Amino acid sequence: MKTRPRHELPVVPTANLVDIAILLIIFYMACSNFVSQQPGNLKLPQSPDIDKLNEPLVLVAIDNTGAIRVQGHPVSGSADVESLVAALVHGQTSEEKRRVMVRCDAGVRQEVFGPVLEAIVEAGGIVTAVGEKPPAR
Amino acid sequence: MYKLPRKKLLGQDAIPTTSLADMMFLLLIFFIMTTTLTRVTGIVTDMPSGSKTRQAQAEKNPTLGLHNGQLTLDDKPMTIEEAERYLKGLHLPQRSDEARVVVLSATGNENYQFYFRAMSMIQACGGIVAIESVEGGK
Repeated sequence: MKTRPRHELPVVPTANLVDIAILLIIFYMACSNFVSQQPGNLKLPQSPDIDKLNEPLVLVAIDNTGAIRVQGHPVSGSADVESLVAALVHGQTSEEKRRVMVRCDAGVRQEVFGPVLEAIVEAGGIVTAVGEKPPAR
Repeated sequence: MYKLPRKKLLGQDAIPTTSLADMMFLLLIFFIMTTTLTRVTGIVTDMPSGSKTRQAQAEKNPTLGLHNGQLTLDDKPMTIEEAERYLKGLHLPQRSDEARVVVLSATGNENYQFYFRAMSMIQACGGIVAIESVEGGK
């Protein structure tokens, strides 16, 4: 009786797979930012005159109900914003580290966001207003 | 020196790494799902702090007013494009910091979209935004 020669299946080397996965995890951990996505209902304002920015360390958000949050924590008013921002930017000498990202809903009125902007400036922060480019027609 | 047999070493002391790849992939999927790689876009406004009298500002610096949905430049009504042309004509980037200040005055009922558009336009023209709140409105 004739016996067929045994064909062994090629083995895929998977020993380095874990190393690659670890490298990818480190990459995603370094790139992740969870703070900036915290506020819920927020429609950013649009303007053609905007640039790409580095994400600042301090975040102030005002949602469509006028609720103010600093670093994701709700605050009652502009006085709280001023004291918190002052504490966060205290001792920072570089302009980059004094930047405060303001994410405000496009429909919020000046009587709500005006005092917040003033509070940030008084606290020594540099206002970095976040917006979007209008969609191309 | 006494050497342990190789077979025994592998059998007792080796750390089990078979499930490591599964854990790594779970973490990887988590980070891929939660990461946003889009860059933030916006404007950086180095607003001067402190207060000046309204009259002293108006004499030196242009004032952009936002009142009841209408834009005015030094109390003259105009469109945002006209205001942009006017401010670009002033060649603000070539001036000193104090002369680059453009006062942005708004009533309490103006929305942030209108305000942001005006603020970004002043920045694009090389001006420094100084904010001013005005009582009243509609």
